[in-house]
Amino acid sequence: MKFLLNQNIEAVSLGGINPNTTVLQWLRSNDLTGSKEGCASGDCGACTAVVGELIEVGGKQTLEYKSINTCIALACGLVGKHLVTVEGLSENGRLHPVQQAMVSEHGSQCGFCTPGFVMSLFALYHNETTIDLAKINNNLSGNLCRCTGYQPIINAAFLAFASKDDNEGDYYSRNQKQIIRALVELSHTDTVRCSYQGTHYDAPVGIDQLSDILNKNPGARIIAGGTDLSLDITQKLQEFEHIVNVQRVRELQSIEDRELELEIGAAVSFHSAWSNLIKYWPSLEPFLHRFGSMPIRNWATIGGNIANASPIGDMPPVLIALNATLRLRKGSKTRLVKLEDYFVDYKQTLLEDGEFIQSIIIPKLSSEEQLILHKISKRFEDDISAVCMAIKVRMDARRIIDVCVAFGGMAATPKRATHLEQTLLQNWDKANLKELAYIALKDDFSPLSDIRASSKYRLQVSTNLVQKTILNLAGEFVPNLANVYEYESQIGGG
Amino acid sequence: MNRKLGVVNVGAVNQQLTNKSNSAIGLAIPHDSAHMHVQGSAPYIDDMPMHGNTLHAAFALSKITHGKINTIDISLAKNARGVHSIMLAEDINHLNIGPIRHDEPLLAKDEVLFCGQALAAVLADSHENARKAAALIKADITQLDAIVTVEQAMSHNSFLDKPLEMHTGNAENAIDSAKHYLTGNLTIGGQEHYYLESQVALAIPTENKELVVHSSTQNPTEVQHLVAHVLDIPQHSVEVITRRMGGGFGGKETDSSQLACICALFAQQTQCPVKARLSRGDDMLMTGKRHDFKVDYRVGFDDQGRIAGIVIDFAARCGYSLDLSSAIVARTLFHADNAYYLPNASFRGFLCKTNTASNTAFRGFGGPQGMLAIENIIEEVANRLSMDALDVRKANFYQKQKNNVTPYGQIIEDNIINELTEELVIDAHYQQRRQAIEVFNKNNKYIKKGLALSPVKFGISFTKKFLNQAGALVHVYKDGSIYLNHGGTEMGQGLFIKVKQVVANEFGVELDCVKVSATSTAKIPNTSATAASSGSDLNGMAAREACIRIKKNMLEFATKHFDLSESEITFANAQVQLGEKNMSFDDFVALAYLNRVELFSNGFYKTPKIHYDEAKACGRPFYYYSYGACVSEVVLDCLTGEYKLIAVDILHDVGASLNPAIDMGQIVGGFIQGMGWLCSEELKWDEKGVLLTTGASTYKIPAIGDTPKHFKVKIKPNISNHENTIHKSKAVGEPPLMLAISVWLAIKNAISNSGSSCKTPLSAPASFEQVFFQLNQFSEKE
Repeated sequence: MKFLLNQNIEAVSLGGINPNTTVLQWLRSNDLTGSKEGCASGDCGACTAVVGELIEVGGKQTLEYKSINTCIALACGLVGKHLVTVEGLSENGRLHPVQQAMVSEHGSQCGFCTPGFVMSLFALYHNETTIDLAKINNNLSGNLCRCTGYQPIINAAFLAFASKDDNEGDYYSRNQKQIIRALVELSHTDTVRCSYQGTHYDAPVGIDQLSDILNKNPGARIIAGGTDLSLDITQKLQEFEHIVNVQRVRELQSIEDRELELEIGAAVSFHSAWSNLIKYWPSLEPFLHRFGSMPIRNWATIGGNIANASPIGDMPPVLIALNATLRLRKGSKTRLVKLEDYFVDYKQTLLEDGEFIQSIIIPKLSSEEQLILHKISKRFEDDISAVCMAIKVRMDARRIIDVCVAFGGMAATPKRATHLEQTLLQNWDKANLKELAYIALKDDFSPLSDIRASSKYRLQVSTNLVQKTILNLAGEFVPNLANVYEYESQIGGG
Repeated sequence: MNRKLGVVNVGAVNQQLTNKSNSAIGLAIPHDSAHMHVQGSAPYIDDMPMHGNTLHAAFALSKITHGKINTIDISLAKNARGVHSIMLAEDINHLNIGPIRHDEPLLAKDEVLFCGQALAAVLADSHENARKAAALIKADITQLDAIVTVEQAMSHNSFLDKPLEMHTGNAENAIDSAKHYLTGNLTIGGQEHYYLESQVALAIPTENKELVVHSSTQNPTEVQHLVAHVLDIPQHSVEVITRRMGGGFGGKETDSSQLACICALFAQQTQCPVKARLSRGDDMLMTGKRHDFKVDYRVGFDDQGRIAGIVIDFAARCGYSLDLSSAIVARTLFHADNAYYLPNASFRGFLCKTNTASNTAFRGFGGPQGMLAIENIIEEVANRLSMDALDVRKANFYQKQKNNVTPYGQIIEDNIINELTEELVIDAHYQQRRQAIEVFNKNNKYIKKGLALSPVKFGISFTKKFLNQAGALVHVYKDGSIYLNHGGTEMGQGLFIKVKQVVANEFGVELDCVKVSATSTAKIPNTSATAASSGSDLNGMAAREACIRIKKNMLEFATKHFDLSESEITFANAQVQLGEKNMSFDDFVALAYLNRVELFSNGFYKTPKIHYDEAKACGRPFYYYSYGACVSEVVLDCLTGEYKLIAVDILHDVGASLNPAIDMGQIVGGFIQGMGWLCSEELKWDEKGVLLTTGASTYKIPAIGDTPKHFKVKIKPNISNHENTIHKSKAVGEPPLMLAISVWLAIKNAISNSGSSCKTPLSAPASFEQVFFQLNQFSEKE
């Protein structure tokens, strides 16, 4: 149970550890108190650190660093990886360029969120060669600051990059080869396993091992990125007796790109699937920028977003609209299930005891098809949808031939709007389409009023999203404000 | 792409403001802990090394809003893993605390008064075990009728105190005889502080029943006094230390006491160090927020929009106890004029007692709600007259020689709002943008823009006169290094660096020569909370006074020793000029020591000129005013109610800035925090009064992408404080928050520009949902 920590080339042992322990708890109880707990739910980023992992690019082992919410990541998941915390940036008392820039631009006030911002900036600095505002917003989308108003931090990001070419690189870029060697030495080829006072942890590497473990322990909890499940530990104060981490399972990490479809392993993170997703479904790019925050996307998996069966997950409506199929596995048997049939009721699915999602098969769009996505939330960044709408539409000249619409936030499960689909098909050119759509939506859904939105808003704004979609298809473009920067103020000389 | 956005270069500001060479005053110096913040090496209380026997406390909270406690079952919790002991109300002799009225039980006794009230405290061997055990405590509570909303409190006459009133002229007559008349109401939401570091305290028993308490508090003295009270020991036996807070914003002015008292009780009982930090959810449930308000108004005005008479009733949801609500609502009335001359005005403030957490101080302290009310009225007046709201604002502004008396009788002697506004109107190209927006809105059916300018005039001083005092302690050691302590606390606002600059400047030494130390009740007694934006005004002056006293001793020695007159001795550039001779400060200090010169001193300051008669609501409560103005532009999607703030221009007055970088940080940060209050931050309770928004996933403070792309912030250059404040600077903590009122007004303007026929007035916060319903009326017939 070893991993690399900061600038130590000697691996560190996790020690005897309860598998329910988060990375943040481990750090803070081991005198690394730089990372802070602000929310213990992955929402504020005060705990942000960076994890380096070996990945294969073109058959070559390379190192990838990603930001992580340590408050909802399990410490056992660090095995074989490189954890960089805020304590690990300065060298011999000299501040890292991102730290220096934060000081120079007055990017800290109370300082409590600062370590998290510094680590997100470090990931940005490490992974990008050039900088712009969109990248900054994207990379810092998971960090909340209550003091500075963010502008000084934005300035600090620009400043850090302004001198990037001049210096010899930080510790981690200069010592990359050495770090890779150390990580290769640490890599396990078999199941990582530990037990602590009646609690157990398994992290298998192959799908057969995984099915075997789950078959024998049907009560075990599967964890991948853990960005949702960990909340049961940190917020509901539960303790899982048996945790099975699927992040290392090769078969669950694969992406198969076939002519008509893409098959994505259930444990592939949004980060890893990103380039494939936006290649085949370009409208996902702005949409996924609003899926959680950068550290969430780095670790959350598409399989997890489906498996937790949340009515407000953003990916299921998209995948239902795209007519995706799940490959489920139990023991040595697999079966295929349409995603729209998979959700049975609130947080209930077709998944049987010991069964797990192996992969998601998503049909690609034909040339007449397009995918249109809308998300309504209280804040543009890092917020849960009040309403999420996904429409796949096939057009012939200016007529809808086929349409599939799915919603999140409108029912106990992510669900298709079949009445709306019929209405769109039959009344596409009617003047009163909007009223008809509203009636159809009311037939499809009786949404709840809750913290995020009232029932009335959900129904009516959904109707307007349909209207907006129709307007856009008809060529009268009404943009989503969340995604555009084009509405600049017309300020003379400003 | 490598375009640096937004904030004006503080270096330039700095040059503009200082021509005093070699002085630390006016320099853009980073926060004193910045280099530690960025390395994670600045310790907060939860980061401090723990003694091996440290125990941890957590609370069991009521899930009921109002009820009679029958039993509290602790049997499961008692036997849970790692539990040491459990405390109930009956175990505490001096149960009640509170900043003014002792009406807040540390733990609920006999009845619960709000959902989130602490029923029991658990002590265990770890934070996690304490929380897990606390969750096992079951309370049998008979539910009683609850008063949750302001409306319910008003209709049941549920008040914490008699209403506050402020009258000038004859509002009723003036309204009756005015040409135009408007009446309306406004709902103003509260705001969760969301300091990133939740409430935390650590109590360490020392000897002979004495304790040291580390508390994340803006008010160490109050924590000290309340801990002494609940332990029934003299105040001298409790030392409270606060090095830094991870944000305060008013939320740690009174709400830190409960936690500290419980830790102290457990520590006294066990003679072990006891620490408690609240989980985010518990913090949001247990502690107070910014007061939410219902406002009713009537106003009479002329063709130019000049307000002849105005009546405003403010009803504030105060929660179950008084806390600071009377002072907060008083400040609402003090700011219901904002920058406008209201010759005939009647304001009333109702202190609604409700079964909710006790609302408390929050940056602006009631002022923002008063200002939002009058700014909303101005906007409504402009709409009624089809005028640009800016013209209505200008028509009502206070003037210099006439129209310069506030509704509470203070003559405004330092008014700069007219020229400041003019300067901003030109800088921000207000008129051109207004025209451009008109064209834009004509050409866009579904996307509309809105623009607004709003002014800020904010009164500086605690309105309770006795609080306007401060102390400091300065030691000069033999090596010439200087130790500074004062009664103010550091919550991120940069107070420590500012006072450090003051001290370094007095002795003419390098900044590094001065160490600023943790606030401690053992060093400066009887301090006021670091609040009301007064931190550097009060503590800067007190520290300066301490330096002057030491320098007096030094001069007395030096004049004799070197046979010089005082005017021949100067302190600058880390040197002491002694007539023709020159000595390093360090050598001079060493020499002074050998000659038995007292090299340490306290300093004391009390704000002059202020007085206020509460019964008559008349006097001079404020030493001076801070001014600012802001232009905001938003773009609105009429189909969804979503909007984006696209441009902000701010011009703000900080007098002669002590540190323009720190001041800029307060302006930018305060603005964004105010924007959060008025836009995305929505507190929601269910109909029973249970708070639903208890975490960052449901309560949305601004994120980085909410920062406007055009964000031009300027400190008003070449200006001074006309009162004799510390180096002629002005307070800056709270006033900029209210610049964000312009954002809400711009949204209101965009809604109005879209031709909305909605009859319900826009509330705050302007959530996307609310804006949607301002713009969309669906017919429900099928």
